[in-house]
Amino acid sequence: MRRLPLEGVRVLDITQIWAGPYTTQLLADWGAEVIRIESTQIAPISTRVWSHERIEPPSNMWWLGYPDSELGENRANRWALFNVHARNKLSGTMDLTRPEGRAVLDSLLQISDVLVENNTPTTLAKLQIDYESVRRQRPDIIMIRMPGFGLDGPYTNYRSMGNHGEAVTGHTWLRNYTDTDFSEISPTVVGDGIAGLYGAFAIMSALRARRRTGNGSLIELAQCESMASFLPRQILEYAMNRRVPTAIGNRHWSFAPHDCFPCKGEDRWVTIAIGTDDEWEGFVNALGSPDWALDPRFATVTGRHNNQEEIGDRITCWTRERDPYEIAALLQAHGVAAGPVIFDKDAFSDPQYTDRGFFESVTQVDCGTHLYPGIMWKASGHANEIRLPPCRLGEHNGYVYSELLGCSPKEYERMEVEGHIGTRYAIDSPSPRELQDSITA
Amino acid sequence: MLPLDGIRVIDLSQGVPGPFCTRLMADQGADVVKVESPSSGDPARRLAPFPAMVPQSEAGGTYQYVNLGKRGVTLDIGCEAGRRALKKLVSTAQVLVESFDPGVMDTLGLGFGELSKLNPELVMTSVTNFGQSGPYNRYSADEITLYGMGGPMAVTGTPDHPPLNLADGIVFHQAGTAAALATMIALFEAEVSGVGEHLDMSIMEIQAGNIDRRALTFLSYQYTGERGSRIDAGISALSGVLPTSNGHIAFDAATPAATKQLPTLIDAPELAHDPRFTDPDARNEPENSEMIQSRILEWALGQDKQVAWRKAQEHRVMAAPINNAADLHADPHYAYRGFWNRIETNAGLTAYPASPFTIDNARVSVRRPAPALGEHNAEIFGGELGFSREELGKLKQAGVI
Repeated sequence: MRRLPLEGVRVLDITQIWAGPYTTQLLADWGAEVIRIESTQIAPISTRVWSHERIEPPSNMWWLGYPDSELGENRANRWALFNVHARNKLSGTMDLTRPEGRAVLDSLLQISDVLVENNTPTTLAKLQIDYESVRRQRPDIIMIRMPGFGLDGPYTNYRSMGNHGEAVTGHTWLRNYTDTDFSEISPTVVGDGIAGLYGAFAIMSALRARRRTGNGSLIELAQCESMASFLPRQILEYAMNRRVPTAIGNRHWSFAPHDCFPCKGEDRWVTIAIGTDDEWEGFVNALGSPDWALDPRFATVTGRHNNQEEIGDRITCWTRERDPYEIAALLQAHGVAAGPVIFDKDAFSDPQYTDRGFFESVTQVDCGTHLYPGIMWKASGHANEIRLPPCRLGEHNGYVYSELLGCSPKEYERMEVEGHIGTRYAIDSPSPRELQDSITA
Repeated sequence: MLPLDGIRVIDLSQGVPGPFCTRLMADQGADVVKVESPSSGDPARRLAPFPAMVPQSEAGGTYQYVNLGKRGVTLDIGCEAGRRALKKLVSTAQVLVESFDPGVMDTLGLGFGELSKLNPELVMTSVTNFGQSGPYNRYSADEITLYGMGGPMAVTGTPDHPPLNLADGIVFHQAGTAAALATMIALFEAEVSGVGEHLDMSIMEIQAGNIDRRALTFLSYQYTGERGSRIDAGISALSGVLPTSNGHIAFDAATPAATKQLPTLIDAPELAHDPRFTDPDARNEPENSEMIQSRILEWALGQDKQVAWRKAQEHRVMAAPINNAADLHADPHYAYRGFWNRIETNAGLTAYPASPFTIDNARVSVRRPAPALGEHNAEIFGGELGFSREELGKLKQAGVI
């Protein structure tokens, strides 16, 4: 089997939370050597930990899970929010706020191809990390910066999380039911994934350019722009016609019926999307041509649009008695786009996910063995799989310091004592007093 | 020189996902040749919006947006002469993108095996709803189908409503971007090794592997065994979505730095000395929490939403206006950063969203509008592939181009 396409590309990763880490995950999945540069001195909120203190997320935030719902011996290595993107990456620790830590980063830069960051611009300014300082170490480096609002402009230093980005770009406005207030809807966090994809694409573009010209580059990606670039219909509707599209729940600006219907059982759903008259005819046949469906008012898309409420009620009566998978199979056999709304637990036994082997079993020492979402696409030339489990904090310090930088054992020990090299956060480390107590006990 | 100078992409795909993939490559300098059926053209030509809301096949905003910067030819690949011409075109290219149902290219004799014999370096990217294999591979789907099956739809929305879709466009553009990334990675290898490959992009899996909550909820389920459910938006003393005089803002003053500045921001300086506010435990007592919420609300209701979030940000409070398309066009930040790409096309002069990243401070400048149906037939078949005038005439007469 051939080498993975990005073998030989070394990426330094000083990213936070999701968007930046997703960019480096996509490169790591295809063979890049991604080294996360982390610090043991501050536990990074929303990246590896929920809070500086050793506390768990509130119980209603069920998606922020730890194995067996316990923080465990070293919480840094057990959080789903981090582990979901940390496979195939390495972790080295150093404190960038002190000169010795910065010197380690500088030495790594000299032997690296790409540097990825997605912090608020002020954070990097404080660390005195910018393209010029990075280039001094490695003239042909590719550096990508992906702050929420870009490196200049009126909002450049504004702080934002996924939900704020989504609001600014216009997505929150468009994603709502017709009978709920904006205050009732929790966000999707879709913006991080979008920025992450664009980030990896931009890096690939710059890598090809570098191969031809020998020159590195600075890429700037503003997350508020990447999200907006996925909403052209709504934006162009205003640009062309000064019309402002609004939220329409699960309906569609052109298709009808187009909705999410309740099925037999508790909290089970099927989506049905009918665009053309042929598809409507297929749908009617699938239902056994009941009288209501033969109503000539429903024969055209305009007619179906105007009578969505009535059609929806009729369809609901039918779907309520049935299983979503059965409905999907029946309607698909009649050429209609329909699918179950798949809950996490059902995905692991869903025939499409299992037939294509989407989930992969991965063992990480601090978490045990679980199924992880696998590699996002298939390439005929590479039977690609997850190669390394989610990196544990400081797990690869030996590789980074000794192998890559040729650090002597004595030097290594000094960096350990000074709090650069480590495998747990300072705040999580037992104090000398606690150590004494545990020995006495 | 642009990053993808010297790369030719043949684009047989239709709709939004495949064409957006090649549009991103065109932005970076690739020569993208869009191939359409001479009779019907790309169905994306029928997608809104249209100027004055009058449908015209050359003026659709969506069609223009996902096809900017490309050249276009027509070719009926259902007939032998058309397939011969396509093969000739493919032999001059490094990349081919297609979005037919699985198996269609093989049936036409244009499968990856055939084409790579002709051009071993070729990267072929297939973008389909569910991937080339598996029991659902022939299922049809719209964005809502794919978001429901692949994405986190089951747990998005409120508990007393059905699961909630994303705004239209997100799922398909996400698929296009993932396909562009996959293609670039394969191309990066093929240009050196001389060996291409076939990429199988399943939009369902692009949803499932995306970090947009879904990958996370899969892993959380594995870790905890919790089924997951839709939850109400979190409203606490210090965060939530607030109504203003002319819309809403998302507001979050929960960080210590933000909490400290909140009394000044909302013109309630006395709160700074009020233990019901300053003591984190007292703050969460229901009556205190309600008191704080009502003070914040009182302030917000008297503010313009654009002014409110800027003031909040100046006080280290994370906030954002719930903008609509009109707000975006009026926003000073997007304008300052040159996000609006004003391009004259068959749809008139329109401000399109630009490519969202710059390389060495340079924005991509779109080199041409989306192609009209068959616009570059003579230029490409005649000028570049060397078809004679007679041959072209024959192909045209036979309805091949």
